[in-house]
Order: sequence, then C-alpha cells, then structure tokens
Amino acid sequence: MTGCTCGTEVQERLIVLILEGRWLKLLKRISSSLFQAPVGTPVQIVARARDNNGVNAAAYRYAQADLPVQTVQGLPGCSFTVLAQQRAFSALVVFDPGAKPSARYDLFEVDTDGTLSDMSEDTFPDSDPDISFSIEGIAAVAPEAMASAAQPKKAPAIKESSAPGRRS
Amino acid sequence: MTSSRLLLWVLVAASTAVAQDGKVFIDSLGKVVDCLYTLNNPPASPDPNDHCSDVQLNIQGNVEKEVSVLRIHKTEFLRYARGLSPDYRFLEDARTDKQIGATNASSGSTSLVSKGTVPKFFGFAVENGALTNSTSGTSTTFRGNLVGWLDLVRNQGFIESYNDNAKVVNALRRISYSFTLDSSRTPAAVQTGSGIPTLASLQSEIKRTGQQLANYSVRLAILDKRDPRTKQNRQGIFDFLDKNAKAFLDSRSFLTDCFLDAVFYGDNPNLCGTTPQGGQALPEYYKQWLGDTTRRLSQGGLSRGQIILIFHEQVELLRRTMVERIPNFQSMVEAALDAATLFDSKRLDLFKKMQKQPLVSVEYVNTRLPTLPDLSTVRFIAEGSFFNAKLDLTGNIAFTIQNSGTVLTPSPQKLGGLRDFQVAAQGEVPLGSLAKSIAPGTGIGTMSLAFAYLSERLSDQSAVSFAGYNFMAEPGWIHVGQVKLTIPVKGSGVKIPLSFSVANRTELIREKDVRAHIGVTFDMDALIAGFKK
Repeated sequence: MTGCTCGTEVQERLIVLILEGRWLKLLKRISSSLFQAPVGTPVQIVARARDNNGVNAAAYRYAQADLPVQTVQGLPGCSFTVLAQQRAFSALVVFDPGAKPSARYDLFEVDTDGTLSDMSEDTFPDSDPDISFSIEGIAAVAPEAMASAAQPKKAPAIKESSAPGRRS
Repeated sequence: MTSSRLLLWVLVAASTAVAQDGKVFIDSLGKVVDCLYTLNNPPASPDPNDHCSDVQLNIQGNVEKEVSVLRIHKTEFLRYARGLSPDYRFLEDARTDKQIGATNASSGSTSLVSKGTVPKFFGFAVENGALTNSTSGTSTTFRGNLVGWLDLVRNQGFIESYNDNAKVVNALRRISYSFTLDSSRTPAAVQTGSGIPTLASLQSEIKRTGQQLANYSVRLAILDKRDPRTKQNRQGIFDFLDKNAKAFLDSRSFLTDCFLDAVFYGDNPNLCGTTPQGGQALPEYYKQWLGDTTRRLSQGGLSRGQIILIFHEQVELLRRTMVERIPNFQSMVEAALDAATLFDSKRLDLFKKMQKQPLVSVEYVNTRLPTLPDLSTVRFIAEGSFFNAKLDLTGNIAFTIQNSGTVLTPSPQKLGGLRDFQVAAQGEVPLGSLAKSIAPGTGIGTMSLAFAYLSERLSDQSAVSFAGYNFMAEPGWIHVGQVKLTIPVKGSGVKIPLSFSVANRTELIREKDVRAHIGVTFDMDALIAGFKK
C-alpha cells in the first residue's frame, strides 16, 4: 500500500508504530545537505560537543522559526514536525575559543527508542558555527510499508560512531 | 597610450586579478581543498585527527560533505566573495592573566606576583634579573597543565580518547606544574685524557646538570569560576545564543533560506530573486550544482592543482549565479560577514570575561639551592577582574619553610622552620581596548602595564647562598616595588616582559637596590589557537 495519507491520520499511525517500537529512524539522509521524512513526522535533534572545555550549547531554526531549546538526554536539542516541501534547518553552536584543536559538534537524531543516531552533520572551530541543511517533507507513504521496508526491529544500543578515523 | 600598450596593460591587470582571485580562493577555501586532496589521495595510515573523512561515508559522500559550501563553509564562501582571513591567535595574545615565567624566588624572575592562570598546553620563559635575591641570574621556566599534555599526546594518536568531562579529567585540569632551570649553575664540561667520557664522568655530568633545576612547583586551582562548566557560565553561554543567534542566522538567510528552502525561495523574491525563464529555482540549482561538483571532485587520485582548478571553477560558478540572481548580493555578503564578525567578537568577549572571573589557587614550590637545604614555599594566589575587565588584580600570600640543615658562615648554625612570610599584590591594565587587543594584525600587540608590590619578612632562619658560601640573612622586612611593561608580539604567543624594581634591601645586603629585568615568554596556547583556524 503506497497511497498518500496526510495530516493527523499519518501522525496517529506513526505514533502507533513508535509505541510498538517498529519505527526508529525518522530522517532519511539523502545527502549532506538534504534529509527526507514524511510530512508530519515528529523529529528530535540534539547537538553534542566534544573537547570543547565542557561547553555544549546550541540554538535551532527550522523553516525560519526559532525553535525552543530543550534538554534531551542532557544535551541541547529541539523538536519539530516535518513540514511539506524542502525546508531549511540550521543549528548554531558555540565553541570555546580556548578549547582543544580537536573540538567539534555532532548532530544526532533521537530515534524513537531513545538512541542517538549520528546524522554525519558536524562542525569544527575552524568552520561555520551554524550547520545548515534541508529537510524535505515527502508525501506520506503508509507508515507500515515504510517501517517494514527499511528499519530493523531492534536498534543497536549506540548507533553513533566515535571510532578513530571518523572525524574526531 | 598606444593600442599595444593598452592591450599589455589589460593583460597584466587581468593576470593580476586572476592571481589575486586565486589567492583569495586559497586563503578562503584552502582548508576544503586540503580535505579534498586527502579524500582523493587517502594516506596509507590515516591521521586520527583527520577532519575530512567520515568513516560512515564513501568518497562521494565525504567529497559532497566538503564541497557543500552552504553547510558549514558559508563564512569561507562569503570571504571568497569579499576576501578576508581570520586568525584567533590574537585572542590568546591579548590575555594578561597567565603566569608563564618563574616565581619571585628565582634569580631570573621578572614577576613579583604570581598570576592565577597558567598555559593550558605548554609555555616557557627565559628571563634575566632578580627581585629579592642578591644576584641576578638567567632562568628558563617550563609551565603547563597535566591535561594539556594528555591532549597533545592524544592528538598525536598515541592514545585513542578520554572523556573530556570525566571527573578524573576535570580534577587533573585543576593541576598545573612548572620547573625552572638556572643557567648560572652551568656544569663544567667533563674531559678525560682519552677524550672518551667514562661512566663515572657521565654520571657526574648528569648530577651537575640536575643541579640546574632551580625549582619545581605544583599548583591546584581551589576555586575556579572561570570553568565554562559552572552553572553560571553555562547559563551565560545560552543567554549569549538567545541574544545573538537570530541576528546571525538572519544575516545569512540569503544563503541558507534562498538555497535550502523551496517555500522561502518562492515566497521571498525580494531577497532571493525570481526564477528566470527556463531556469531553475535556487534550491533546485544548488542541488544540481552540488551533484556536479561532487561528481567532478570524487574521481579519486586528483592532484592538488586539479582540485584547485575544478573547485575554484565550481565555486566561481555558484558565486556568479548568486551575483546574477540575488538582488544586492554584494551588500548582503558584506552584511553577513559583518554579522559573523560581530557574533564572533561577542563570543570571544563572553569567554574573555569568563576568564576574568575570580580564581583562587594554592601552589607548592620547592626551591633547590646548591649549597643549602631546599626551601618549601606554599603560596595562595587570588585573582579577579574589575571595572569591566579593564583592571586585573592579583594577590599572593606565601610562607617559606627552610628545610633542616646546617649553615657554616658566619658561625655554624642549624637551620629549619619558617624562613619568610610574603604578601604581594599586583594591578595590571591593558594599554588598549579589548577590541584592539584581539584584532588581527602583525607586529606589536596591545601592551599591558602592571604595578606590583611585595613585602617579605625574613625570620632568623633565613640562609642565603652567595659565591659558594652560605650566610645567615639579617632578619627584617624587604619591600619591593615594581613597574612592568609586557609587550606581546601578535599571533606568535611571544611576550617580552620588561620590568624595573626598587627594593629597600636584598636578602643578603641591607642596602637599597634598583634593578631592571627582561625576559621572553612563549605561550603555546596561542599557536594552538592559530592551528585551529
């Protein structure tokens, strides 16, 4: 079943899948500047700093709206619902000028089971303090079809990568 | 002007413009070029601190991430459109709160008062003079922080990683160390008849070299309101974002929103321009540009020259499209760069003010004397900033214990117990504004002027070593006043302290003493900050 079902019905069915643990990762990475998700999908993104003298602060903007900063798993995060079409998302972070050369921020998506999925979106003291990309709200495919198509039923405990060789 | 001369002039002007354009490109986006080169020519043993490759992605994914100039390279792109290059070393140079050189007990010290902060990574100082000692000397001081070494070792890939916020690491962060070598204790070269050193002569040499260690110290920060981890400082950082994020993000809306947001693009022709007949909307155009640029630069094995050529061509294509399509593009570039500079200067100001908050440390200094028992000094150091960080005040209270032993001159006497008690204070003012002190440039940076005063009470247990003889110092008060001018060399981490001191007496001679001191200090933090940029 691939028909478009929009609005609250999709959200309700997504919520059911979330509660049943069948829907984990919400944003699909198309490229470094584009993610996709069905319209109406609730998304939570957090920023995590490393080697930044303990400074971990971020502000978020989605579709020109400044989002309130929430503390999610001890990290500064934000929540929003995916809108139709391609909309801009920005995360603005703060680097301590006295931080180590290896200082960095990474963005994580909070999966429905609470694990943090590395979005491969990062920034460094020698780059912009704001990470910008698009999130495209696509016509909502029946949630059951999407859930069974791609995602594993059980998420690994940690999906983030911190191995050496990765940006560190 | 003849037509041939005019043509020559045009050609020279054009080639200069191209060279200048290429220089601006490399200055602005050279870091991205370096990454693209690494991705095209991966080293046999990858650098653990490589900022270019994400193991979760393949070469196309990594190249696409790097060339996506609107993701995290907007400022570099804007600089390319205008031509600037920032440097953060100037912030570290502007700091006046760091103790790099020796403490006042050393013969070469230029510092009457010990400052509260030490270099995070590593610093060293070579100084000549004396403050309360009877003889001037030249000392070399190495000073650093335990975690600083851990960071450097990790960055070299010797250890993988540690939790930056772990309790142990936070505790280590409060501990710093120093050791001072006195070059006046230079060991004589040991010669043997055959010219080949014997084991015994080598051991003797090592022992003599060890005698150059004039003192070593360990310092613990007991109250540190400068740590960004404190609740108050965390709140300050979020307040900074609340106040400044909107203006910063709005200033680059013509890049992020016009190129990454299809709805905004359609709704804001005044800002983003309109789609020309047969053309693409900017978000569609950027997607295609990104795809093309990625494809051209992810072939593998491209030389640096090829990468510069291709990437420059693509970036220039994007810039020209922006110039053609976005109304008032140049003025918006200027405004966005100004907003970025403002955001950055406010950020630097925030952290600079954080570094001016109260700090209390306790320091143990072991002073090694060649012919006398060691001295143990415990010093309490308090430092704070007043008048909107324009005046830096530092206070020291110290007492020195004479370790037990015997001094033979003028008559044999057993030593041990309290040797002296010291109280000292220093006020330091930068001779220029904060903005001027952190502004990029070359040459001499913003100087600072300090006035210091030290009172030292010598007990009847004060022994002094001079010219190989030991003497008992006459008990009483020593008062020393000092004026100190510190001259930073911008962007280098180097500072030259020049000071002039007047004392009512020295430890050995009860006569007025006037001295000049000079030194060179080097703070590696400033260079590390430069590498980061």
